[in-house]
Amino acid sequence: MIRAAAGKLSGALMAIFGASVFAFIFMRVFPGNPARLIVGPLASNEAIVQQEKTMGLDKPLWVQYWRYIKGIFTGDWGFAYSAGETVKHEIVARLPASAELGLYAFLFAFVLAVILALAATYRHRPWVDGTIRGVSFLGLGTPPFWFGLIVLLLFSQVWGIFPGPDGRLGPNTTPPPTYTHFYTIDAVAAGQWGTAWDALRHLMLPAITLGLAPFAFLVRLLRANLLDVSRENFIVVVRSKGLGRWPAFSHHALPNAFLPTLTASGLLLAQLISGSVLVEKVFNWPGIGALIVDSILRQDFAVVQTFVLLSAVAYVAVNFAVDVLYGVIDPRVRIPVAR
Amino acid sequence: MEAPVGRAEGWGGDPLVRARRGAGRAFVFLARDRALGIAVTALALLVCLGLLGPLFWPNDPLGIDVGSSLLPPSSAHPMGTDSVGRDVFARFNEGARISLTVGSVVVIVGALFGGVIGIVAGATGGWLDGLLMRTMDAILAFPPLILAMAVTVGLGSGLRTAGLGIMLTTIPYYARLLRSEVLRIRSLPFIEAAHALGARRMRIMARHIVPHVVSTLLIQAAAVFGYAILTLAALGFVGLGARVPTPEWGTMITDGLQFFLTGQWWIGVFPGLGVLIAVTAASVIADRARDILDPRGRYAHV
Amino acid sequence: MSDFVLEVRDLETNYYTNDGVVQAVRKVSLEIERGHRVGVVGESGSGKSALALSILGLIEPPGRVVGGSVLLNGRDISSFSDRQLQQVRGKEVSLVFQDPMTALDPVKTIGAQIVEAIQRHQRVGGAAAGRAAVSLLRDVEVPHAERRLDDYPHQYSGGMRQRVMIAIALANEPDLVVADEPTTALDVTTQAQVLDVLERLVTERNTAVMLITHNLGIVAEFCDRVFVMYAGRVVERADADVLFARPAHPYSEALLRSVPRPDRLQRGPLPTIQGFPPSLANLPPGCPFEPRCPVGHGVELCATQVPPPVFLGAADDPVVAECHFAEDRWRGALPIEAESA
Repeated sequence: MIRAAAGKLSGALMAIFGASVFAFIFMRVFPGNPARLIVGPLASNEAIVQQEKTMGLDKPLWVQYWRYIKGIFTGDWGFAYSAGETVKHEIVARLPASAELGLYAFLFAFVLAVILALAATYRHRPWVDGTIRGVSFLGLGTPPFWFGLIVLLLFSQVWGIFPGPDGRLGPNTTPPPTYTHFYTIDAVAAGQWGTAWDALRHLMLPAITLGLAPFAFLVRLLRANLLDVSRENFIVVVRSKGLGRWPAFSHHALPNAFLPTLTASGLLLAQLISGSVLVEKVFNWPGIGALIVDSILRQDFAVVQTFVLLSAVAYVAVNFAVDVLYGVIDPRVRIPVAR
Repeated sequence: MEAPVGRAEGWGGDPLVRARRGAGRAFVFLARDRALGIAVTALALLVCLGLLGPLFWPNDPLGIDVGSSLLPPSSAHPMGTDSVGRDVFARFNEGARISLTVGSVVVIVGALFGGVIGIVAGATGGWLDGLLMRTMDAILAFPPLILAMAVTVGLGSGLRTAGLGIMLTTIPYYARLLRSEVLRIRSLPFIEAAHALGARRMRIMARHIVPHVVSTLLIQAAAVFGYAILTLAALGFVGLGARVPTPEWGTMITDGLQFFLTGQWWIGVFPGLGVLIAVTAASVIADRARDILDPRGRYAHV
Repeated sequence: MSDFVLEVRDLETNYYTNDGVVQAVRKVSLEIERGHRVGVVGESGSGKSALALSILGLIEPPGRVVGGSVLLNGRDISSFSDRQLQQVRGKEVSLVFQDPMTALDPVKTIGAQIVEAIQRHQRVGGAAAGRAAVSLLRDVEVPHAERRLDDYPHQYSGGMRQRVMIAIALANEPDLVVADEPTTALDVTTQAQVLDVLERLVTERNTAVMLITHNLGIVAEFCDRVFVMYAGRVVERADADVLFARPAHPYSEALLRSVPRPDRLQRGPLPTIQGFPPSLANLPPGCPFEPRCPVGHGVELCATQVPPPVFLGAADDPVVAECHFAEDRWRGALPIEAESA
């Protein structure tokens, strides 16, 4: 078991290494000189050279790469010229916004997916099943940015139920004291119910928008798993013991159906937390996605490199965590057959 | 000695019944499956609009006519006009052509590249396999939209570079899929059996491996088609895809962005609907393609 | 008037599928006396499993029981709601399923699954149920029963899992156990072991058994009475020893002939029954066995008329066969043709 884990870990490290090299090379492969972009089109050549020196672009590539990698570990993630702050500062400032949004989007997607997948499979009603499948297809095919706009139009503009795209809080609300950087949690912890409610209201529309595609994906996955499992022989056996439909479903079918979705869910969660460029733009959400888009457009290496590396690490970490979790939960993995 | 076992209780093992079902299956699926019918019709409609639109709706998608700007949908302009008076319907049709073309190209070329990489990796093994797969993993570690954006920015904004960027993000999926399929099939008992019966390697490849691999590829390709269209629109939305004034659906949505909340909803809504219909139809077809081609079912008993 | 634990009358079950209506169980009647062992024999596609599930009320859409009655201990359970059936399943009648590898929940311990069966119908606490489970495991000859209670199904061999199934089925001392192909998935040695355990336990508790199988050897050893099923109907019913000596229906005879006999020298290929069972969605107008029948193939009567049940044998030893030629065959008037491969 240890050997397998070590094997996986080394594979993971190699993937991260590959990603870092890839990100590094990638940003430098393309035409365009970021130093020039920063000092502006009217600057003199000396100014450009000076800027390059400051940014360390004059050193040989492998030195630059080493500084990059070393910097990751020491916390020096570079300077984000496009934003005027260190990369670290920017990312740390924006990560909680994306993370909170991603978390709520995931919760929405997951809970709704479970409910609908159950509805589709519990009793054999073809039209319910067909409708839910149709909804999942539509959900996967809807461009999230467009959906966000439609949703804003209807719920905020026309019906006025939810606030418009003014970010995480309304213009008149001050953020709660910082514990977790999650506005909803912090506000509740500080007893600021009004603020919490405002934060929640602002979260609703973007969370639904962001969660639409994950919901569609999850509901299909869960439905397929539930269908497969409910046809398994052991379900018939459980019923033959005299158990009712719901106990058989909830105690036996659901756990077995959830297991294969663990990996997918974990990855989805990681993806959601690392920010969505499109949704954040539509809702003016001060998250990482917006930062990344700007950085790419301005060829701000430092930010993109760091972000890519961090998301590679996150991806690998989540994969690893899910594998471990799997090993703990699924008895077939946890206890190998000793024959 | 027991009688030969039929497929399952109640179906009967009558070979005539089985043959009938095998040949006519695809057609039966198409005829009975309403969702698939709708999807195919919708996609066909979009294709017609894209290819034949200019023939029966000759309005110029780029024709500026500030005098008739921001007009709501009417018989003269079924989808209204945008901020500089261009006919949204004409732009929609052109957008359909663009999206469907780019989608097809991305899928085909990506499948070729990715498929070849995957097959080579799976068939060769060894260090080449490792190298190829690590590269694929490195690409996969990039959030796909970010990667596509980076490529587009780096190589200059435009449809071609956008397509290239999108294609790059899809290659690892094909590669991994094909590689695992090749590995799986190589070790299947019936390959050994065919070998034992004296079939030559090429024959084994052609009769057993290739059809299976092709159907797997087709299914993946159908799904990627939808993803490509969606991502192209996303890039357009961010301003990285087609250049102004090309009427790509994503850029059209961005055009309509500011007008959404002021009441001229048609500029942004229709192109979004186009994306939605195209991608959903592609997903449904991909899903049904899996059922019809049935690669797991056919080989399930192996 | 014997005491019947199970009486099935004209049971009909259909499956409504995209390819048509499959008549899996076509007006099947049978009865099982208390403590008796009955074998239901037939090929795949004969409707045996559907029969078992229909009796327990476990037919799920697209299947439905569309006619007939099932009397368990005198009560008509075919008219019961699912809720009412939940009181009956596992307590008065229970099921031993065919594939031990997939019949147990892979993520729950064996102990938990046995206890679940116990606690469903008995008011006992966890500890008491646990002890009962251990005792059941010992009954089915699982070694180190106490330790193995906490094991998971994948840690058990196929034969052991099947014995666990038997334990679960007998946990609440039911009056009838329906065993659907309990040994088909096992190798021969394990088969014998499992059957021995089953035999011992049902004898101890005087439990009636409905043993569904296609293996005539098991039927010969285990069963008192045999029902031969073909294409959804019971085509012959007789006491086991009578059936084996003197099969009335050509299908029964063909089945018996196709069992290899190591004690007899056989020349030439093993006899088989040519052809396939009919599709239950597309039944021919006459006798369903006619296409493969060595006696009736090509005979117009057999091809066009469904044979009515014919009563043969003594009153205390009743034999019923559905064949136009049953009576003649019984009386030995028609010679039974030699089989060709």
